[in-house]
Amino acid sequence: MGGSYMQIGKFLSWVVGSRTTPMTSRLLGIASRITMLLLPVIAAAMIYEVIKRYVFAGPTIWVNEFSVWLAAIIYLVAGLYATQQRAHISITTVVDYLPVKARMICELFSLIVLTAYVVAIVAGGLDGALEALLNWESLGTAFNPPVPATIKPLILIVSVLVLLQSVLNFVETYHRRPAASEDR
Amino acid sequence: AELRIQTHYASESPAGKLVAQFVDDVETMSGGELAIQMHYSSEVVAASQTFGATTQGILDCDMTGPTNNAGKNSAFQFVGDIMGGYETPYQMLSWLDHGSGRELTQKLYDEYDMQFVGWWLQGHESLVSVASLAGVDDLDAWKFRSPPGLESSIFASFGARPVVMDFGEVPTALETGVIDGADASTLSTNVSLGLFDRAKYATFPGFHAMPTEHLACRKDAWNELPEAMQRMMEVALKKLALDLAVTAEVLDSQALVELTDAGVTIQDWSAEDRQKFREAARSSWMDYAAGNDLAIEIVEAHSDYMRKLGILE
Amino acid sequence: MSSEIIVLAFALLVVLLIAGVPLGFSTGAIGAALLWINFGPAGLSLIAQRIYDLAVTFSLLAVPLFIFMSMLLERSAIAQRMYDALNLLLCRIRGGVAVTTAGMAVIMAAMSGIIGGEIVLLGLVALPQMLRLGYDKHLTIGTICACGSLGTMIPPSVVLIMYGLITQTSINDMFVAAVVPGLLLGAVFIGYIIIRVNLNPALAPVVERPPATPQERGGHPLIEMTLTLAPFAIGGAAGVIGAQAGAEGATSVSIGIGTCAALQLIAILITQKRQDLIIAHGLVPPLLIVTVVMGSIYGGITGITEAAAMGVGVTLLIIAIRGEFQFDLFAGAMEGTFRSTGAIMWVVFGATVLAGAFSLSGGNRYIASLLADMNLSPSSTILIMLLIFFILGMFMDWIGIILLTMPIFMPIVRSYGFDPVWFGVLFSMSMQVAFLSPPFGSAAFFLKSVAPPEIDLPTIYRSFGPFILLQIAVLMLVFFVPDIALFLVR
Ligand code: NA
Ligand code: NA
Repeated sequence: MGGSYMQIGKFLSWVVGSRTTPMTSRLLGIASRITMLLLPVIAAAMIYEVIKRYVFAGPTIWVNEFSVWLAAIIYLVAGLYATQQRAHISITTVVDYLPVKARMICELFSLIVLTAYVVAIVAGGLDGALEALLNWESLGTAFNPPVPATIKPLILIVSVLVLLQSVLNFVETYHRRPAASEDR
Repeated sequence: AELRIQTHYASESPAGKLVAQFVDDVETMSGGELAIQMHYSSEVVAASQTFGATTQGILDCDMTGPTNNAGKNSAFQFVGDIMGGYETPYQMLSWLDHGSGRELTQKLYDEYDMQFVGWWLQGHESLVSVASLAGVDDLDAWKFRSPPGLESSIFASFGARPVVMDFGEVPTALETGVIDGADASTLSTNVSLGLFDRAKYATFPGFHAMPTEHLACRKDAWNELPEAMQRMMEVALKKLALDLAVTAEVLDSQALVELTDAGVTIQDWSAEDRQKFREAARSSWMDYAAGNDLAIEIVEAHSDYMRKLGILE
Repeated sequence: MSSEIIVLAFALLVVLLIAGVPLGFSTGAIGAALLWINFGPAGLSLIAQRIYDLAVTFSLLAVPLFIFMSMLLERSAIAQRMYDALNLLLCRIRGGVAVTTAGMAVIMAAMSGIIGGEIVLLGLVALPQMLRLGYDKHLTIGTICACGSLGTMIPPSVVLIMYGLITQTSINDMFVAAVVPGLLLGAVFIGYIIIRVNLNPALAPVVERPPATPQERGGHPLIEMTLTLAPFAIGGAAGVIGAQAGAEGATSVSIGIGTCAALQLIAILITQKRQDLIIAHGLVPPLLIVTVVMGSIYGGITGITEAAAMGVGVTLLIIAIRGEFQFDLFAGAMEGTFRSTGAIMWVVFGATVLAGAFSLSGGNRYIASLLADMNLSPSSTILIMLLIFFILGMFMDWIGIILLTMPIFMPIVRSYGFDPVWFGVLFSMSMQVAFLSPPFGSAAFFLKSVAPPEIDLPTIYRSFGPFILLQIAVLMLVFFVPDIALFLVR
């Protein structure tokens, strides 16, 4: 019993994260860790579906759409997490050999490109997202989850947050710049 | 002028080839003045999002099915597929100009600033099954891959059990008995999807579903066209509609011969069973349309017209 | 769309990528720019639309699930024990540790569907050991990266999933067709290693059996290896025969697992050697995982996505049964999966935006007509496409390449009457080359992230040469003999 209490304690402290991290990244950390828990939930739901189907010969009507819904949330929030972790895929082969100043210019350039992208996502997607949200658009199926109503707005919200996180990353890189130059 | 249009059909499919003919007809009739950029296989946006992409101005016209929008407004179901309703594609088409179809459909499309140009459709779909489906009684406990919405509720009223899955998994699911059957498409399309490797029964001629495709254009794009070009589009679409219905009939007849030779049992439902199905469908229409005035009006217009044709008592 | 805009867009993309702008953001921004230029503000609504369409696609879900499974495997002791077991089997033949590494990579490839994890793992487990034992540096690095890339060639594979998804080809067929070419690549790598070290013994010293082994066995190492692996092979064959004989998928998989376990048990009882126990302990769990995942798919029990969930389940189960389950392991795997998923999905999103903008602008038709105007024979057209894959593979990620090229190439491939499944296998093999080719060779990056500092990127890339040639040779073989890929599908 004691062991399982310890595991639960570990789990909770893992979710809330360390108190020493700055507020914004701590909040993002909590949101990310809650979202990443959806992954085993999806796996469990699918295994349940397979068991239900073969052992009880009664497949569910909800697993497929429920999984898709959670997965869409994962993809989006994971992008935000990857931004914070600086894990987005990029070619650093050339940039790594540049002097610090040039590297900072590249980072700034990267930020400008991202800004353009996010502005385009939001400007183009706002009408559609609002329409889906206000009409509480759902899939129109038997289980009928409100996938468009939730995911379409979430795309815009997360995109904006990705941009804000990138700005924070840039500021942080800028302040750590001399140390970075000694690294290389 | 130039129009960007999307269809979900692949350019190599029989329907896709007729769409290419439609494009060629319009371009030739207009002496090259009206160009159409046809996007096949839903290459721009998902088929279900085509209508929305058209209203938003990404595309100028939508050539997918109206039922994709039933989640936005249940009335689209009844201008896309009034399941268990008409017996032939020609009856369905005739509702537009011999019933009050065109006017009511336009009323719905007005809400989205879209111009309804017309319908084109293949004809009845066939059910594919691993077990005999000789009549409504066999639908009891029949597990089938469920398309969204109205269809599931009609079938469920006979005790059938809908299973939700990705369409790509249907052949595997038939193989392993996860489902007993599927409503995929017309008989010949079902053959080309490889559904008869395991399933040895098919209903034909069909009775349960006859989805239409529409040609619907954003009003500002449509109104920019000179009247002559609008007329060319309408005429070419009527040709497409006739060609597709005829082609589908020919292909289905060929598939019928092929399947019979291959030992597939073709089941033609009796008039009584068809009637029972239609009655159940009718009450499902009413449930589905409930709370939507325009949807109710469209269902009633269909019913009136069916009575006029003598296919509804 | 005019050729100027296409050239400009592509040039701009290369500039952004070289400047280190993340792939997902560069492609997305260029897509947005194309939409703006061609269609004005209204065009921008395509962006969120395309992202939404892809985000709610069921098949895409297999990607994070397979990543999750790989992450669990990497963090558990399953992989390490498999390596020890294989090493015990093979270490006494010349080049044995390299063969172990390659064999391990092939088995891991049948469990994991991504690139990265395996290379990192082998970089941590095999690289230090091989260098310490005096294996040639270049041979070691090449083996780890080339074999470690097989994860996306041998099913399950996210590359095959995305290809199937984008080109509307059956993912099941892709998984069936890629098996033989994938294993062939593995076999060719192993053959190359054995031939190479026998021609030049200086590359790989013969190693004594690890002292921990209690009982020596007298037989020839190859016979021992055969004896130990035979039960698995026979078990697998029994499963396949069961399936051929018409047994239900579940039954044939159980036949396979049962035969495999029983024979292994008999072998241990007969030989009564602890060594066999260690080997069985190391090899049974991975093969069990392979059996569950592949059995679910090929036995027709589940689709690809559900099979990935089954893989996650069985991996967790094995970890728990062995008493290795700890929250830290689980949380670490989740975090790793989440980070990779975020990075991959945003590349997918960016690429789908660019591909959508490109096709809406008529770019597809333009490129297609360019290809048509070249008046090449159908086979030469395919060769040109492969060449384009190689060139793009130098600069881009595989997802970007699929989303950009397939909407253009696929109609052409189909119209010439080629099998899209075969073309998908060729594509997947080209991506094997792309993982190794500089300057953007992801395999190199993954190895660099765990290699000692004296192993720099130029050294790593130099090691790839012979392996890239082997990849291209096998690719050409499948090009000229399509049945290597297709005979199982028919
Ligand atoms: Na794999
Ligand atoms: Na490369």
